[in-house]
Amino acid sequence: MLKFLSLRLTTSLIALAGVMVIVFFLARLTGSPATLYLPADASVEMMEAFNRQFGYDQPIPQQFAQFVGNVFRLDFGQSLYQQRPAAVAVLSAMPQTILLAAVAMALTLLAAIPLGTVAALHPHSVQDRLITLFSLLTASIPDFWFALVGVLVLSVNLGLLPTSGQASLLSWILPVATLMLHPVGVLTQVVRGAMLETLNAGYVQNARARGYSWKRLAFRHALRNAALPIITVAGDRAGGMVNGAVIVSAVFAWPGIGQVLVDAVYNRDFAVIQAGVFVVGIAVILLNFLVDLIYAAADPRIRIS
Amino acid sequence: MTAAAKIMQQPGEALIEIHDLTVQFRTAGRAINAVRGIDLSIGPGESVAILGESGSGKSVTGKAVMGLINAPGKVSGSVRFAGRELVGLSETELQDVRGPGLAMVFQDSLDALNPVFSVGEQIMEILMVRLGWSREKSRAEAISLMQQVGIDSAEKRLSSYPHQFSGGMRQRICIAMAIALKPQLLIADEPTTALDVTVQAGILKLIAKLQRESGMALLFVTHDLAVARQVASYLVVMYAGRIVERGPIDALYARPAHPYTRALLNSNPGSVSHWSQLHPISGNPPDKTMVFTGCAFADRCPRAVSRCRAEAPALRQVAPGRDSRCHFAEELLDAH
Repeated sequence: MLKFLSLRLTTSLIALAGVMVIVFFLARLTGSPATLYLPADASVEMMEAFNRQFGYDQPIPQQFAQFVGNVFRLDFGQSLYQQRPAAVAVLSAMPQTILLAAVAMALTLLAAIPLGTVAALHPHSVQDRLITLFSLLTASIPDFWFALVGVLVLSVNLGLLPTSGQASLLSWILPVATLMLHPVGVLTQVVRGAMLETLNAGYVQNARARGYSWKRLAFRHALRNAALPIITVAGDRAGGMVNGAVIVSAVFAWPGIGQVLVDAVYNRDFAVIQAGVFVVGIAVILLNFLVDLIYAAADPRIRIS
Repeated sequence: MTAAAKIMQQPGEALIEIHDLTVQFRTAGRAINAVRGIDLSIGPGESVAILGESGSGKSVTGKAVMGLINAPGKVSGSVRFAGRELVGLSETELQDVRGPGLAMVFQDSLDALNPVFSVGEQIMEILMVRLGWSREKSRAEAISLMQQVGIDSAEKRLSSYPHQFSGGMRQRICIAMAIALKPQLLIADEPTTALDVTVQAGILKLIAKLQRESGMALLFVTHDLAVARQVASYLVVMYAGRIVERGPIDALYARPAHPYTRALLNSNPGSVSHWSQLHPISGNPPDKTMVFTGCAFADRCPRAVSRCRAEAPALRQVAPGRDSRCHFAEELLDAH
């Protein structure tokens, strides 16, 4: 188990290093920050002075070497736009992002596990068909459309919910619902499929022969064994919720990491882009690490081997 | 009076009375008849073996008694257990009977134990859930149960998981779980089929010992006559979903009253002195969708005559305590 975890950690860090290299060079393909931050009629001298001040006059390989050296000191440089350290700009957005993702994932699991279980307990029944219809609908509605229509109908026309920001609890409803939309549909189907298999397994029939209630059979004996595929998909979707909350940021002006990254790209704020990708990468690695630990907790065969 | 004669003649004393039990699976318009009307009663403390080849309906009979037939399977007829009709009961109503009334040991012990819980947790769960015992009391009883089924250093092995045990040890744990609530009838569905012969003997001895000491009744499902003889005193032979012969096991062994039972004896390597005397039964068991006009065994029977194909034989008494479903049962008995 320890060997497995350290191997997973090593490969994840190599992948993160690769991503950082790509992001570094791609960011510089968007153009020079000087043209964006200086007035259109700025002189060549002003441009050169600007580039010298922020180190953009150096050859790209040298900038890269310096960047790598700084990363190892956890120094991501200054944000051009925000006039504060890039790491601070990124990290200050993380609590909002993680909180939103955690709430959305918790509610997704709370909805998908009972729905998928009820569907699996009565395959091909009316309940099963309705639940499958619901999960197919939620999994196939485009989330940006859902977000926009939600704002239009509930906030603009009916005035029930705020359009943006996070002033009150009500303002959480649409962002959370948007983030949940696809995961809840996909996860319901995953739970249904996994539970169909484990409910018919010999150990559940044996437990049934001992006179246990259906609740005990489903939620203790079958669900624990169905946990691995559910954890896999939930972990993958949770990663998506952390870094993919761009739509939520854009539509609801949610001050999370998605918003920060989009702004940074528009502003050619290289330091923030790099710091943002690094922090999100670390968050996803930690999430995968957590998923591996949950695997081990759920299945002793993984824990022991 | 033999035990067998007693259950035949005094059904009022029976622990379980099965009458005209039928199990049918309807899929895609086809009706598969797994069990085609079984009558059987077992008295308290009696040990009965059901013998039959694959597809004879022997395992389905055991599961039907437990109420474990899932849709699209349909059970009809009557199973009266301790005076209570079980066929038609809801899952919730059956929950009380399962455990202290009826318990079951399955063929594949690896499949029958939950891989994510330690064996201790699984044994303790029965006592805590069904009897409302405390954790400590259940733990002590779990250790005692594991010792009873012959598991060394039971206390240490309580926290082990099913995959850390050998097949024989796992089956012992399944037996411990089945007897935890002191059932009145234990149904064992081919519990030794998946095991090595040497391990098999130990399990059979254990089942026989537990049955003798606790006084529970035993319904032992098997395809192996030699195995049946080690645990049961009464034998029921099934073919194509019906009982073809029944009686005290030693009497059947010495003088079979049905050609199928006789063919089973001749095809068993343990019962003949030389390989050249081994006679496999030719042909295959009949299609379970078939409806018979005559005897179901006629196509494979060396004695079959035209009457066998035209007229279905009834299960009838052919000697004291002996029933056979063959037109020529008396001739067979006399031939020995």
